[in-house]
Amino acid sequence: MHRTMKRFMGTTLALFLGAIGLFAQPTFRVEVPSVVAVDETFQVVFKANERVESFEPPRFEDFDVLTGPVPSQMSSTSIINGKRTQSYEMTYSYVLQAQKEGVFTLPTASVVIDGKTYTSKPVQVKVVQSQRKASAQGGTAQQAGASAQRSGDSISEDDLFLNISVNRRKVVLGEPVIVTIKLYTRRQISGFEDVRFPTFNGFWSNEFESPSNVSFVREEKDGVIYDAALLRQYMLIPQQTGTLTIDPAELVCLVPVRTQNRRGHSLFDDFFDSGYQNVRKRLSTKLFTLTVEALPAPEPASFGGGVGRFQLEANLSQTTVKAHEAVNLVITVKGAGNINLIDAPEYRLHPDFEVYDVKRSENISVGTAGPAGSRTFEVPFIPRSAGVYELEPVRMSYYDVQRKQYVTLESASLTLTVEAGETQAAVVSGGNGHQQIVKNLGEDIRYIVTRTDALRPARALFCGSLLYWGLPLVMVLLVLLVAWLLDKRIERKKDVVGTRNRQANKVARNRLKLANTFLSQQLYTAFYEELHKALIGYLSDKLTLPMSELNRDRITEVLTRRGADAVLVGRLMAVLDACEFARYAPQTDALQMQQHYAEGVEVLSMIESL
Amino acid sequence: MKRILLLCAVLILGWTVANAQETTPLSRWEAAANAYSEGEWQQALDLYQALEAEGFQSAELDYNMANCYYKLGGSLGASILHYERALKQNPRFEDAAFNLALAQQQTLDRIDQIPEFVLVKVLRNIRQFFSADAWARASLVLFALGLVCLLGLRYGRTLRLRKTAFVLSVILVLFAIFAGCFGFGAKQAALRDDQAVVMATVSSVKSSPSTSGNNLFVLHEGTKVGVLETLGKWMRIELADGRQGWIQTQEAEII
Repeated sequence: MHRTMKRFMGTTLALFLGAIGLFAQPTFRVEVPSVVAVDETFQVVFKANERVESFEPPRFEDFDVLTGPVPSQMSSTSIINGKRTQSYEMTYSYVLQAQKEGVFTLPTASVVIDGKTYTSKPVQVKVVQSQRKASAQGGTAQQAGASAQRSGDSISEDDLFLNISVNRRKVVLGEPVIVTIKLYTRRQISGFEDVRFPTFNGFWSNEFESPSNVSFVREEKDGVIYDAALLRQYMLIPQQTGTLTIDPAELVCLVPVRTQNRRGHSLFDDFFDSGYQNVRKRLSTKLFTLTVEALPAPEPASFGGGVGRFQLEANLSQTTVKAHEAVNLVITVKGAGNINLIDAPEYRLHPDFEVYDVKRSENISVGTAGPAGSRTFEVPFIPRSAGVYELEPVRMSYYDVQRKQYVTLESASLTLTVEAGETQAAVVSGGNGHQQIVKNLGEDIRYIVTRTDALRPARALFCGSLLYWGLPLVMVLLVLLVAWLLDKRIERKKDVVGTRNRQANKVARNRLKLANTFLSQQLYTAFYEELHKALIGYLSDKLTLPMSELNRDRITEVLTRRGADAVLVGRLMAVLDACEFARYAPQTDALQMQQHYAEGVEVLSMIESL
Repeated sequence: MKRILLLCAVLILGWTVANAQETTPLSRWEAAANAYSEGEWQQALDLYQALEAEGFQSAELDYNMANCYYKLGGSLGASILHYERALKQNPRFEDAAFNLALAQQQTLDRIDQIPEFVLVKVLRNIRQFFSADAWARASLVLFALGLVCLLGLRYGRTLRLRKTAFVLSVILVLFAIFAGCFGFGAKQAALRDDQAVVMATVSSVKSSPSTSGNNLFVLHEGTKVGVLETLGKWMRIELADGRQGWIQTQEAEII
C-alpha cells in the first residue's frame, strides 16, 4: 500500500515535470544592437531559458573582446490567482568593441541543454564611422548625445527629428502603401506633448502599428547612430488619382537641458534642482506627395478593384446533398495587395437555389511590404430540387502591378449532386403543398417585333380622306336612286291597274250605253248580249282576270277577297244569270229589260266603289 | 489552274450578286432582328434607321428602334421617344407600353400628374379600341346600314316594319356619327405634335425664350412634356403638373 502510494507520487511528479518541460521549449538566442560605431563598446548577451550544461563561447574575430563571457542566472516563480509561472534565464554577456567599419556577422555560440545542442542564430552587425570620436566612449547613442549637449545646449535638427517614410512613391489606384512615422533622437527625451498624426485625405487608411509604449531601438541613419522609435505605421490604399499630399505629423518633445549660470549655488538648490530643465522642442515631418495613377481604361467585367497579386479558389462544402439541405460555396482569395478591400467575386448560382447572405472572414497580416493573406467568402445556399448542377466557375479580375495588366482568374467548375430530399416538414397538408410561387429573377424589356408584316411603308390615313367623305355621299345618292327607281316601279304598277280600272268603268259605261240604245230600240237579244259583255268585260278589266279565268267561282272568290259582301255577289250573279237566260229564251218584256239594265248599272257602280 | 481561277471568279461574282439581292427591305428587317438577338444593338439600330429613312413607318419599327436604344444604354431619351411614337401610332401596343414603363423608371424627373376626369378616360379607352381607319370604316358601314333602314321606312309593307326601320335607322346613323367622331379623335391623337421628350441629359427651363431668362426648373433626359408653341429656337412647354417654361428646341424632340 505504502509502496503503491510512493510510486503514484513519483509518477505524478514525473508527469508534472514533463508538463513543465513541454510548456517551456528550450531556446537559445543572442541580443545585440544592430548598429554600432567604430571604437564604441557594446554588449552582446546570449540567453538561454533552461539550465545549461555547457557553453561553447563564440570566437570574435572582427571585434575586440573587452570583457566576457560573464555568466549570470536568474530564476523567478510567480503565483498569480493560483496560477504558477516559473521562469529561468541563463545569460552570458560580453562587452565588445568594433574595430573597423562594415557589416559583420557575429559568430555563433552554442549551449547544451538536456543533452541537446542549441546554436544561436548568426546576427549581422553594422559598424559605422563614429561621428564624434570623443563621444564614442559612451555606451549608447543617448550617452553620446548627452556629451554633445555638454558642449552647447542648443538642440540641433540632427539630434532630434521626426521622419515619415513610405515604401512606394508612385502607385496605381488601389495599390497599398505602407507609411511609417519614426522618431530619431540622440538625446534623452523625458516626454511627449501635443501629438498630431496626419489624416490621409484621399486614402483608405488603416493604422496597423501603434505601440502604446514608445521603445527605442538603435538605428543607423545617414551614417549616424540614433535611437529610433516607431510611433505609427499605416497602410494606405489610394482612392483617387492624381498627386496626393500627406499632411505632416507633429509632436512636441520634452528634452531635458542642463541649466547653466546657476547663481546662488546652495545646498538646497543642489538637492531640489537636478540641474536640468525641460525644453519643449516642436518636431514635424516634411510635407510629401504621392503620385497615384489611374488603372488602365478597359477594365474587365469581373474586375472588383483588386490590385496586387492574387489567387482564387472555389469549393463546395459538400458535393452531394439532399434537397432542402444547406451547402456552402466557399470562395477564397489569397495573395498580396489591397486584399482587405476586395469584395466577394461575382458568382452565379442556379436560379432555383435559395441563396443567403455572404459570410466574410479574413486572415490578413500587414508587413512592411504591404498587406497579404486571405479572404474567405462563404455563400450559403439551399438547393430546392434534385438533379446534377454544374456550377459556373467563379471569375475575378485584378490588376497585376508588376506585370502592369489585368489578370482574370477563374476557379475550376464545380458539380453539385442534389438527391431527392424528404418533403419539407413545413408543408401544410393539402394538395398543392409542393407548389411554389414563380419568382421573378430579373426584369427586362420585352423582345422586338420580328413579324414581317410589321414592316409597312408610311401611308395616308383613310379617316378624313376624300374617299371617306365621298363614300357617304355616294351612298346617299345610291339610296336616292334606289328610292326613285322603286317609286317609279310602284307608280307604274299602280298606273297599269288604274288605267285598266278607269278603262273598265269607261268600257262598262260604253257597253252599257250600247245596251241602253238596244233597250230603247227594244232589241231584246242584242240588249242582253251587250249587257253580259259589258259586265264580263268590266269584271275582267277591274279584277285583272284573264277571260279564261272568268268563271263564277273565280269571280266570287276575287270579289269576296276585295271586300264584296254575299248580297252584291248574289245580285251580280243574278244579273249575269238573267243575261245568259235571256239569250236562250227570248222574251219581250220591256219592263224586265229596264229592271235588268238598272240592276246592272247599280252592281257595276257598287263594285267600282269597292 | 486557269479553270480554277475562272471558277473562283464566277463564285465570287455569284456571291456578290446574291448579296446585292439580299438587301431587300424584308431581308434587312430580318437581318436587324438577327443582329438584335445576338446583342449587336448598334448594328440592329442602324438597319432599322435605314429602313425608316426609306419611308417605312410602323409602330413596330419604332418599338424595335426603342428597344435597341434601351439596350445600347446611355440614350434613354431616344428610347422613350420611340416608345412614345410607337404608342402614338398604336395606342393598344401592349409591349411598347410595358417597355416604356420600364424605361420611365430610370428617368430622374418625377412629375405628379393631375388626375383625369373619369368620363374622359373612359371615352379615350373606347377610342383606343380601334385605329382611326378602323373607326372610319365602321362609321361608313353603320351609315350604309342606316340608309338601308331608311329605305325600309319608306317602302315597308306594314306599319310595324316601318316603325322598326325608323328607330333602327336613327340609332345606326347616330352610331355612325359617334364612330366617325372617334375616328377623327384617334386621327388627331395619332397626328398630334404637341408633345415632346427631353433629349438632353440636363436641360434648364427658362422663363423666357432666351438664354438670359431666369431658370425656372431643370428637366432631365426622358421626361415627357407638352408643347404649347414654338418661337424660333425655343419651345414653350408645359409639364403634366401644369408648370410652364421655355426650352431650346434642340434639347427636346417632338414625339
